[in-house]
Amino acid sequence: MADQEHIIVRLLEDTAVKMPDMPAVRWIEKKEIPEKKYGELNADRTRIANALYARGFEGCHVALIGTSSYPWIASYFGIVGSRMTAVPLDPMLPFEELCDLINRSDSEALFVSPKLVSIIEQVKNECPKVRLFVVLTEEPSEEGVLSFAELLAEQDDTPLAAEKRPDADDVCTIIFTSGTTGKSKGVMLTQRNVYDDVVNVVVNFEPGTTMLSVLPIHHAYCLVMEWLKGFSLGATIYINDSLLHMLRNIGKVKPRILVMVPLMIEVIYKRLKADESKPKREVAIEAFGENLEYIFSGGAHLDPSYIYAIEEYGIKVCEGYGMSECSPTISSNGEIGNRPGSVGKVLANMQIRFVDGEVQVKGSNVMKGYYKMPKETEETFTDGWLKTGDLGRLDEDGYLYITGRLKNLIILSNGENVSPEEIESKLLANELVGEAVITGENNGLCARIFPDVDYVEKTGLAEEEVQTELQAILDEYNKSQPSYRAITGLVVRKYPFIKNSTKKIVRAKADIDEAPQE
Amino acid sequence: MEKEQEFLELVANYCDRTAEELTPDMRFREDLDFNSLSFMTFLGDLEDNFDIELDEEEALKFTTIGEALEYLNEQLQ
Repeated sequence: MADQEHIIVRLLEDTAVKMPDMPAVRWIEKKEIPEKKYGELNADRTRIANALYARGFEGCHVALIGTSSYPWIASYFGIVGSRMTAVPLDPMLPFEELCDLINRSDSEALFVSPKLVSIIEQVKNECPKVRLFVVLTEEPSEEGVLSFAELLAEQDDTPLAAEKRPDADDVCTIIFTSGTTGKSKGVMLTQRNVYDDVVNVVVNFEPGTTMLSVLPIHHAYCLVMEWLKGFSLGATIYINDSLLHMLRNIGKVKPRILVMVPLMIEVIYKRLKADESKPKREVAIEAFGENLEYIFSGGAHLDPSYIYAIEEYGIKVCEGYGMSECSPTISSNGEIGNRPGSVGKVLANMQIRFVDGEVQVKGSNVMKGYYKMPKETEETFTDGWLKTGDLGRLDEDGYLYITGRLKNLIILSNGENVSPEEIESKLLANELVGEAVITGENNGLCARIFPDVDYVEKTGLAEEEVQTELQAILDEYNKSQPSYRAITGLVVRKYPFIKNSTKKIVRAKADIDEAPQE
Repeated sequence: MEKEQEFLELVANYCDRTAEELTPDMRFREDLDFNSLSFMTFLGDLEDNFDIELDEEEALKFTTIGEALEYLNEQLQ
């Protein structure tokens, strides 16, 4: 029998029915702070769903590209509140890569923020399946495209009939994640996956609690743990207008809860530490207001010294752990207990086991698989257990500790996952690059390169010229990449990398540059 | 000069150097260990401290202290 209970839209509907006049979303527009209430959000998402159905998009995939905005989140709910699948994409990616992901996800409609409207022409040329373009703006649109406001106006907010509502086992969202094979993978999350993840994370606060959203909304962590969890509890979520203004906006909005990645928490701590003239609690109140109580940390490991240090200012930092494949939370510290250094207790709907030290999980929030990648899906599961690629252990009280990684993915402290192989293969396409290994250092990426000996000999390049040429290769690569994927360090090696018996480079020894032993 | 000193002290808040140790040719990322977020936060501080509004795209192109200072002086004139 169809299950229409465990579906995402219920998280919003329940709140909208109970408190339609509670502000759901507020955003900062110069000196104004416009808002939309839960009742309005619920009506708008129904209009979007009705309009897309009337245009024949039932069962289709819809790509969403943009930073956090009211039109983005209302459109997302329009899509996942009906029998459609949302494909949130990273607006920082090069257009070429976005077009590839639109094609690979079989998206038939594209919702895009006004800043990226210039991608539409390229999508028209390169993505033949896309037949609807919507610009995420309240303004009227240009010819050939539709604006969010115009789409809203096409239909009323008559609730969808039961057979038009999604089923718990429908795929509601496809989130792309870095792959170790050099190709990103589309994680298929079902309605139940996401719903169960939201309700099983033990965080409770009263309706009207203020949150400030500072993370990119296309990430599972931000989308699910901030927006969906926040809506399920009746929070008022403010949108940060720019990372430039993050600290200023925290002081202005005075949120009670922040959801962040370690990089941001380090910045928060630096700001607090800069003022030594007053008692610590006073410093915190002056900088961020009197309400800030919890900062949730995820996306990458946080050095526990920050948790202890920030607690002295009266702010609790709770670390969690997850991956897009688990919608995304696997474990979390929270109100019921906070053990710094651990990533908290595993969600009640999940089971955990350790095989040769590797964390393996199963549960109702574990993905259905990778979209159109059966081989990769098979490799990720073993007897129904998801292999996380992380090493870990549980302590006697059931708190999980992550102790290392099996996969080569680099997790930057801004939560971005970078596949070194993906970048290395691009660098190796240059004749001057003989061997290359990408490592994560000081929150950035470093390229360690052994130049191609034959090429250097042939061209007669001097040592400094090799360095200059390699830097030019990196500069060229960086131009086409989002800033988090830029390579900021270069080490030119004297000797080839250390290899194992099968002649594969030993990554763990990539920083050792010694003459090979005969 | 007073503005320049204020600017350098702001930079020093973000790195392990004193304002006196900073020179115009120093690069934010490579020499002073700024990361993408601390650099953006620093730009936000510039706006707040000098009461200016930065063009985000332009500002993100600064690589050295000298470039940022030059831009700041232009904005203040």
